[in-house]
Amino acid sequence: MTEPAPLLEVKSIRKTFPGVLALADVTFDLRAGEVHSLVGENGAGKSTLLSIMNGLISPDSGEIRIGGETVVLSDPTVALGKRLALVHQELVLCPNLSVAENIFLGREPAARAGSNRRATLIGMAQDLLDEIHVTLDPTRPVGELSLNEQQIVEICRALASRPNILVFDEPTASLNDDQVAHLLAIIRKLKANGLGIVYVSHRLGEVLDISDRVTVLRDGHVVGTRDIGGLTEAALVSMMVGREHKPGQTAFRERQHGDTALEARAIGKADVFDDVSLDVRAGEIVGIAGLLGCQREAVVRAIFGATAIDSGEIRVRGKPVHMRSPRDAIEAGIGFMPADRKGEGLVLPMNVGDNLGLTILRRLGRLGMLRRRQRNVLGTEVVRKLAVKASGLSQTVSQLSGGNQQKIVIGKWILRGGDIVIAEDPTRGVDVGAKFEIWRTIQGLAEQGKAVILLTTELQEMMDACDRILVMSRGRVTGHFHRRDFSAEAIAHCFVT
Amino acid sequence: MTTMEDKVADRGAPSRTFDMVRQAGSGDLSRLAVLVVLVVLGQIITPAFLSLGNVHVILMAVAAIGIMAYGMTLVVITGEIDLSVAGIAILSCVVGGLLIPTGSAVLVIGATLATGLLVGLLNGVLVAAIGIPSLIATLGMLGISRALANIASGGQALYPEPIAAYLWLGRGAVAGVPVPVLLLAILGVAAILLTRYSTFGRALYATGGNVRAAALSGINTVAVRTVVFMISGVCAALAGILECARLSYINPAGLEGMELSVLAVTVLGGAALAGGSGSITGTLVAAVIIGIVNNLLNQMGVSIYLQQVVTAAVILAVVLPGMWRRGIVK
Repeated sequence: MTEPAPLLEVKSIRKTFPGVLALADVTFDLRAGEVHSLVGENGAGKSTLLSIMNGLISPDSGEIRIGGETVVLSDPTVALGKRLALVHQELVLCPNLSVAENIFLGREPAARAGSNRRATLIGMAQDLLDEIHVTLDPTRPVGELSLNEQQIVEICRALASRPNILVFDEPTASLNDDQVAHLLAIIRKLKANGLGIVYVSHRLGEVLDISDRVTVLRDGHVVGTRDIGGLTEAALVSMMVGREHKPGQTAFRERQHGDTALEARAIGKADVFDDVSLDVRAGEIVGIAGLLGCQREAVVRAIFGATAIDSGEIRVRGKPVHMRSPRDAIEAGIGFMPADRKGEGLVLPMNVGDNLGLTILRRLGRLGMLRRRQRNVLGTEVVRKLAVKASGLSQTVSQLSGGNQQKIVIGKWILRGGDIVIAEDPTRGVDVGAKFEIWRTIQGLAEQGKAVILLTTELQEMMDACDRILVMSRGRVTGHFHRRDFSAEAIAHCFVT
Repeated sequence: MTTMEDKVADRGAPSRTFDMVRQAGSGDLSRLAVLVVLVVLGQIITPAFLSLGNVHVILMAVAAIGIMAYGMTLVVITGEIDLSVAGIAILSCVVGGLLIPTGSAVLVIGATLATGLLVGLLNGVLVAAIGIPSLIATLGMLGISRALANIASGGQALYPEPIAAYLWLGRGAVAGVPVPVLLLAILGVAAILLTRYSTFGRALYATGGNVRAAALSGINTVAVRTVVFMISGVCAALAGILECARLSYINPAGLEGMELSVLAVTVLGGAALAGGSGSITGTLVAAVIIGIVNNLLNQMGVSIYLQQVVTAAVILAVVLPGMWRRGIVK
């Protein structure tokens, strides 16, 4: 009995970028009706492999076969023609067009004489939505949809090309647990319909949950391809990082707490948040937990002076400070690491050294001239301390992986040296190895006596790192927990009160 | 596994030099190549091409546009645009011109430059503090300043003859070098220092590269953008003086459409309108390229209309390869 040819075969793909070996001899295959996950740390080569499979870049050598036939994917439309579609990680939708219009954007069905084009579109969109058992009004503008509803539109967009192979690139990065469960149910449905699915995610739990096979990449090499049976998260992690990784490594360490460094007294902003009080002592990590819409992001932005407060008072080391702009906050010793690295944390076209120097420009100046050597000395030290993988201070930050970009964001504030740090989702979209290093760094900051306010989407991470956790819901503080009282149930209960 | 951080520590002088070449940008190199080709071509076509006299003629012709383009380059690096430069130049010269009867060079020149600074400040406030898109704000300022120039002068030309220092700025020479060319060079060096080697320069590129990230890093992005509009205003006023002094009269309807030529030089110089990139050296080379093309066409007796076509074609020819490399066009 001969097995049918796999849907997709990637054979001995090699790709180099100037100075970097991105993929070395990568082989990978996908069968009909299976979910095959690709995992690896940032920089392991996943993105490069996906780009090659999607025709965005061409490999230096190697071969891609689709349905047993060798293909040259010179651009994404060729890949689409071979029935291979990609569900983008970043949502690329037009917010003012309807669900149906977005799904068929760029490939509107030709209007037949006498038919209503709009009705046809809506009908076809409805068919696609029914196919994956999703209830969503195809006439709604996409701008009104939640993130995971937008994700569903992206999936339908990919399905509209009737693919045999569907590639998911980090589809769950910004979804909550319920939404993830919903997405995985859709993927199971697609799989049952006989599609082959390539699934890329940093969340190993869902990878184990959804996959039939997993291929692990590390530094451009395939570490191995495993059937899912008997595979554990720990085993995957050790394959990814090439060393034993115990969850206990980021275990909480007792720290000395000093005086109150930062205090917000009943601060409020009309229609956003109200009567929020919090305090952080030196050496303490205080988390603010809450669901999307709880406005904790607005609270920390107000503390950092990026938005104004209408009522209440912010005190730094006991003294009231009026924050008119981030500069006032920085002057008072506060640093802010925003969750959106590319949008708010980094100047992407600038290089590593320039980005690191941004928070200390005045200190680096002599008669207005930049003391470049001084900056290079300081920058090199931080890059070394945080183990940033970069070719040098002159490498453009947009070329770095997510974890290394995050390290640059952290490095900016280490250089600035303030004693209060606000870290917003510092490990978002970061691979396991870098995640561990980033947690160590943040705990290290607290151990040095800095006061840290922490926001993360994963409650467990927050419980691992914090001394205290404040819970917010709809702009108000609904709970306050000391470390000894941490319990996921009790905290989650406050999410909705 | 060797991490690349090791290389960071090993960086020595040679690689720093290499960095500077690279920072100058591959785009700058392609512009330099075009410049060299044009010079060779010029020498073949007219043997006197590289004579000191002709070099001065070429540079004189682009001094005003080049100085305006310095200011425009700074504005464009921050991601904004200044369409009011020609209007500012004319209004400033008219305001200064109204003081000609005082006979004081300091007053006339001072008022001209101060007007440029002030209108630039107004642009900066409209754009950076109030948040009006610069395309609209400066387009409005172009109209307003041209209208004000006409109102203030009553539509009549003003004559700066009595002010010797004024004329000297446009026609004088120091050690054989025409003053406008000298100013083009001095201001070029100053602008290079500002963009490349000053802390303000870093704030400039950061503001243009990502204004949110720059503000959240503690950079006063409102001030940065206001200052570049002020610099652009002063550059425009100075360029206006050079032109009016060269022509010996201040024409309230003059410099028609010059903002677009300035913008063309800036873009030819490699500054992306999206902000975050651009260089003064690129802009200077671009201005010289335009100067040489016009000079050669003049010497060959090509009609002024055909000259415009050729100039535009040269701009496209130089800009396209860079855009192609950056993946902007296919």
